Amino acid sequence: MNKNIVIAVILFTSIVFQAFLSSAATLFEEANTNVTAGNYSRAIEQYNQLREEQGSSPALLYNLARAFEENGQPGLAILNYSRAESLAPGDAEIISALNRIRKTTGLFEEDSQSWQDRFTSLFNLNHWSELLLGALLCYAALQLLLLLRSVNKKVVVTISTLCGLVAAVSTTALALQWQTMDAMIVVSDSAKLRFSPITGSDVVREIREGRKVILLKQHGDFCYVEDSSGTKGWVAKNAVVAVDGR
Amino acid sequence: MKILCRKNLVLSFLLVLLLVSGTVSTVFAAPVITTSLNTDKLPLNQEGQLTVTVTNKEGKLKMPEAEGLRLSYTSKIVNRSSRISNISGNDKKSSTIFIFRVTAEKEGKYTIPPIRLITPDKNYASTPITFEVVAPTKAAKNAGNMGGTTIQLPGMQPGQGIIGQSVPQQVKRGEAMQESDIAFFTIKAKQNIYEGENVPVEIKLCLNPEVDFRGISMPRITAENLAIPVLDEKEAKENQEEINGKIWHTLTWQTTISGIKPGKHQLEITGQTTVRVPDTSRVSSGQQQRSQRDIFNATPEEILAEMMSHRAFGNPFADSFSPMVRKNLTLKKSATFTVEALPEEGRPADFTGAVGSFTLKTSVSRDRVEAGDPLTLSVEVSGKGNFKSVTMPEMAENQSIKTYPPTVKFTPVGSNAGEKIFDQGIIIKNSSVTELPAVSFNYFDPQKKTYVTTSTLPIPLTVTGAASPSQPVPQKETAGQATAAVSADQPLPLKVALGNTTTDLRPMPRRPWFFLSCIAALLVALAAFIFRHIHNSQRSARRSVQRQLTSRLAGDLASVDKAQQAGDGHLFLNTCRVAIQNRLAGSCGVHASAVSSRDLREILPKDSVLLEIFQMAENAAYGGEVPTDFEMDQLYPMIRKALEDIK
Repeated sequence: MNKNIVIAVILFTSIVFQAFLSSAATLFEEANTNVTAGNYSRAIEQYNQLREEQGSSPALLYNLARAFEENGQPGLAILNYSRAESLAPGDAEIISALNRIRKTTGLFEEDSQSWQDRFTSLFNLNHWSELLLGALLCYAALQLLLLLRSVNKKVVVTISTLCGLVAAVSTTALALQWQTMDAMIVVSDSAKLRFSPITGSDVVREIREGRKVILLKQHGDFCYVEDSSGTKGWVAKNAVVAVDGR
Repeated sequence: MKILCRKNLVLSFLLVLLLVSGTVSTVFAAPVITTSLNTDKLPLNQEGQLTVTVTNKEGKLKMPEAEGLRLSYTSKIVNRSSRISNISGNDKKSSTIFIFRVTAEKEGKYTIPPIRLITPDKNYASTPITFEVVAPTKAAKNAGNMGGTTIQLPGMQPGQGIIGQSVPQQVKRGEAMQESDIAFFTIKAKQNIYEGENVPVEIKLCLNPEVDFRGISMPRITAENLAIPVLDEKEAKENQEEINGKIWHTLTWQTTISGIKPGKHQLEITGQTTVRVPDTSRVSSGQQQRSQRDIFNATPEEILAEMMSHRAFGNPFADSFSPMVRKNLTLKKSATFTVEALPEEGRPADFTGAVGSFTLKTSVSRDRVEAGDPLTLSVEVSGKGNFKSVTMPEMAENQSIKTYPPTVKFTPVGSNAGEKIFDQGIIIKNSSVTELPAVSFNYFDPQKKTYVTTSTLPIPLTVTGAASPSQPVPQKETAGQATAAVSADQPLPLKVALGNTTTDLRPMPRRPWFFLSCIAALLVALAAFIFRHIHNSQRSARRSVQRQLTSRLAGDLASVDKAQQAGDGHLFLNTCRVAIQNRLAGSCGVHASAVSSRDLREILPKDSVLLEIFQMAENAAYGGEVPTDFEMDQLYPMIRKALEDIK
């Protein structure tokens, strides 16, 4: 009797889940159709609805970015391409789309010139994190194995050294890239870097929509940011959005 | 009696002397009306100051008319500060000073006729003054810029005024003093400038440190067709400076000025300050009572004159002990700038209005690119001049190069210099491009008085790949990422599958599980390492003890062997007992010498040869039998084996 009830619950749950997934897929297809038809605003609404209900996926963010791009909102397009890239770092289409929109809007990222930049750009933040975690887990496993049985000393030294090296390198890379976790994208077409966190304060310079900035601190309705040229200033909170969705 | 007569005689003599001196002082008393001119050679178009002093009388002045001269009334100073005591009692001495400005129409010798004082009982007249009006000198012109008004005080000789001084002299008692002795502005700048030229200007407010200032307003600049930034309080540099032998407290602003329109334009700086001065209305009761309104509307000359009157008329402590009032003082300074238009001749067609002296430098973010890839051209314009008119220098047109609007970053250096960097995004469309064209920039150099065109050299480029924007361009591969041949400019199709979703967009290091996993892995590794280390230490200690026991056993067995060789039964049994005690002390948990047969029975089997030998040794110690040589030969291998077999 109990067995039948369990089976029934599992069946019901799977049916509901399937229906849920199928409705999400349908909405996604509808949004895609709207993009193709040029109905970008409606498509953006649908993609955002999906994000609220299902969460984000690289495909969803990519298509949302495309809709924003077609709708003439390069800042939000770059933001969503960047988010898609952070979820799927190896996706060539996302990288290509990001490069293309930056190129068409004249927003170029500076080429890495210093050895630090070249070194940290070997992998992205998630890859370096995976390497660090992998090295730590490997070393922990080795220590546990040594408790159970004796292992050749040379093998132990080699594995320990490798783990230590990988952990040190990835920790250094993470430390150098740490600030990029606070990356924000300018989404307003009239954003200004100001000297003080006051609306009427003097303007350091205008900052273009789609430009990536690094958040340094916050005060009231303003964020203190640094752009790629090293210029720092206060920008209105509603003019920038964090890439990691905070 | 004689002495008394002499005393009377002396007293009579003194009395007569006093009476005579009184008469003489009356006869040779100072004239009622005196006049003085501050100079005997007055430059044309310059003002002289005529001081008319009326002593001990009140009346109406009647000013004469002199051909070619104009006498205009400036101010009146009433003073009553000194008392003369004589034998008949106290007599107050008062004076009234009238100040007139004297200007002449042309050069020549002039005479100011006697000035009459009409009183109810008698009329008085001053002596005429003769002076010469000379051609205007450069110094006189400069003095005019100071705009100060000299106040001639009693006791001062004509010509002692300080009109014409560009900076005030140290004022001594009885000398003339002008408003610039309290505070004054100076403007230091090149006065002939070109339209649009930025020239540095130094504005200095000098304050007399001996004057009690109770408030200084920020200088206000009024200028037509001249551009000058508003002075900021924070930018003022405070200092103590010695000017003509006197220490002044100075506030200096370094700023710039530029001419907007050709012509002569005046720059005027005004400032308000409040000073604390003695209240003359209370000091002398006979003096005209000044209303509060009068006090605050007093002219600088009146304030100065009143301040000086306390010093000049024998009341040096008036500043310290007299009641003080606050008075407002307005400071003014003006300068004329001649703005010249930029010459038409030689003006480049793409001239943007930059005036100054500039240098141009260019650099690119990389010199090896793939066709279609972006690069950044940095153009740095540095130097001195009006950076507001400096725009992105023009690059020679090239169909194969696409440029984007540059971003601009200006870093000022001082008030008139700086560095403006333009970062321009560029795309090289095809691989036929071998260099970035030269960049040129035009400006007008006011020093050379000519237009200057400065250019950079073309920047060599290596452009790889033959892709044009319309063709698919292989994307730059990001390390660790897959590469796909995708179009550079054409949007890719939409993704059709939603894929796995997540609600957490944070990068891995920001996620709690990553942090916890790292900590857990580290803790596990550390715990395992510590556990293994402790285990190894214990094993090592055991091995060490074992080694010690083995070594001791070898020594004990050697002693037993020696006793056996010697055929000494007692010694044999004794060495055997010691060997057994040493070997089993650890197992019994007591010191070797304390191991007894009872202890051995607890740990050894009942039929153990060691127990038997130990018992024999104990018996022999109390007179029991000792083994023979044969028995020792038999026992030795047995005991040796038994001892070595113990773990």
